[in-house]
Amino acid sequence: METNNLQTENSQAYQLEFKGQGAEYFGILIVNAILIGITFGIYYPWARAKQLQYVYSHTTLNNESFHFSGTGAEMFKGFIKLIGMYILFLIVIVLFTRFVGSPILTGIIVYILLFAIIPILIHGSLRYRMSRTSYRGIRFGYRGDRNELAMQFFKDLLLSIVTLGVYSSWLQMNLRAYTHRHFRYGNVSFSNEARGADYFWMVLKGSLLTLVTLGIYSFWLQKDIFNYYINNMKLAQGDQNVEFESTATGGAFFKLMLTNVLLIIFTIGIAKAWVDMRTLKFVFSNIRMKGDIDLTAISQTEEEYKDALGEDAVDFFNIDII
Amino acid sequence: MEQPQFNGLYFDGQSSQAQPVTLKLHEQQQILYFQLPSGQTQQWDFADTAVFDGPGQLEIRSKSDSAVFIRLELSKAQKQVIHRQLSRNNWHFRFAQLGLLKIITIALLFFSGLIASYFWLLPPLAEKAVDWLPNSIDQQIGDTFFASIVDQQTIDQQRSVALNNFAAELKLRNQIPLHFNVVHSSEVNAFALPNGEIVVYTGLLRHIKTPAQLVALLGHEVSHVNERHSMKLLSRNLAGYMVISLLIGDVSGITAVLTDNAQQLQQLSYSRSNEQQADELGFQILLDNKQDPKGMSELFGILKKQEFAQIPELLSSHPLTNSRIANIQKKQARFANRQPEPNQKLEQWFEVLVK
Repeated sequence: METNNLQTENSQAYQLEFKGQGAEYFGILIVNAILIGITFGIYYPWARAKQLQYVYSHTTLNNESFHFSGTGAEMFKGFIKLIGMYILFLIVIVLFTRFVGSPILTGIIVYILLFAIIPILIHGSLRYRMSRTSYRGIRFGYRGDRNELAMQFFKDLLLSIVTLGVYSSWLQMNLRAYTHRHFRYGNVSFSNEARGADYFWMVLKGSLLTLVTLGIYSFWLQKDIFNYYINNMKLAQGDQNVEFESTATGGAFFKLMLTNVLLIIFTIGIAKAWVDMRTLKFVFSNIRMKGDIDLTAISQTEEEYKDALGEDAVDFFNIDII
Repeated sequence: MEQPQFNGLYFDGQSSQAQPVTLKLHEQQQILYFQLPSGQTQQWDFADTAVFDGPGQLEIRSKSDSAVFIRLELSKAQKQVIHRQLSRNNWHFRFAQLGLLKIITIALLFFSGLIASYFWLLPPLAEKAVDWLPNSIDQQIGDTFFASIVDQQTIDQQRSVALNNFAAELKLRNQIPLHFNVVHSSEVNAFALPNGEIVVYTGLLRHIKTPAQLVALLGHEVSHVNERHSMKLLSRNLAGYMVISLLIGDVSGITAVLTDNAQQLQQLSYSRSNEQQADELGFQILLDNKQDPKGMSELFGILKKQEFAQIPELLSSHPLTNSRIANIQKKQARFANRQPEPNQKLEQWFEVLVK
């Protein structure tokens, strides 16, 4: 049907690969660690830029690298802004406790402020990260609307609280779908059909099976989640499309994670660089792309966006969106 | 000289279409130039470019618009040629160029320097920092924790009054008002808080036989207050923790250190030099008040004996090392002919205390 249509004479060949090497990556991490040490942490944003640049430039599509053009200076400014916001946050809390004096009310305010800032940070970091990512000289972009994202987030958050967390599956999938639908690669647009209900039943079933099988099924649940994420992504340029498909299996996940854990344990963590590389290799080698968008005929549409507010925060809070 | 020349693909940042170009590096003028298939030539200053390494390829990007770049497929040796010319000002690259041996040496030097300053430079600096803190902070910290430490146990009101009266007869060299408390407990312990609250457990009082021994004990504890030893300790611990948390990026733990330390103010482990200083100043107080100079070593004797029976709290926090004992015995020898002057009032209050 649709997939058959995509394999017409116009269909293009796509091959995603990750070509990073543990030894090279280890070299970057070690130099970063030393420079961070010598500068008492100030080098951190530059180190992060180096790390991201390595990962991006070793991710290839049809043998062409992606590129991360964010700089340490930009992320350093973003970090300073974040500190500023944090200080402002503390001042608000101190003033509030002084004039209102109720610890419960203050606690509520703290939580509201903390949650209020999440969509702002997600929005900021996506705009920055996407705009600083390019492929064949064409920038990615994020065109989401901050207020719209915030409204959706708060509505879902409220429902999640009311339903004691059940609705959080919907929250996550709505967030994923909203942000992905607003990604762009030049004049190529993204879409994502992730639905909370699908995700909820998948995770519920998987968790029960994990319980019954004493944890063994968790790898298959991982596989299901990964596949769900990948299979729901689509690209479109006019009437041309690209679909994504995951080829990951539960067994392969099991093997990857088991070996990763063993590597980390037996090298007291030194193998982290190699573990990261093989994990990325696994991810990219398991994504198939099918369709008819011509990657050499994309035009630049997205502007540069250099405000890195949120980039560090998302890293600090470990919010994983992409 | 022959200019190095490379074939590559140019991306103009407008479309994803690649255009074949031949790139020439002009080292003297610090520029690179290339001709587009359309015939148009472009030249970039070395300083306006950034070089990015990829798998089997190198990208030279314009700094003003990173979407504009030239991609070259190069061998490792060819990459070096470009890097040496274009990455000159990139200090990450220059650092990495030093070679593994030098990097490891620098890292080792750096970390050993760090460890050395952590142990030898940081503590004296942190202690020095206490001189800059107003005394009101000592007061606050002491007040906060006096309540939580002492209220749970029972204060012996009668003996506390006696102990305060006993202390009132003494010259204690104190800059802040002192307050003494006797607390019911079998622990062989005494401690001083930075706000001048001094606590002596009945478990220790029971073993003290002469006023001089008690003066030695008070002299020792009061000297901890006078010299702000607990503030110095707190400052040392905090500074140490701050450095570590800076390195591993965890800040929330600092508050944990504050509360941890505060809860254990009564069993603080002062540094060896602080302990020795308190011994010596305590001994001076003994002399100032014309008490028997043997009081201090007798006090040590009591504590030493207790060490065999049970490990007294006082010892676990103020370890009574042989060097401390030797140090005091040496001092005592110099004042061996000093005759103690009896003090009627001291004797009276002491009687109440040990009753």
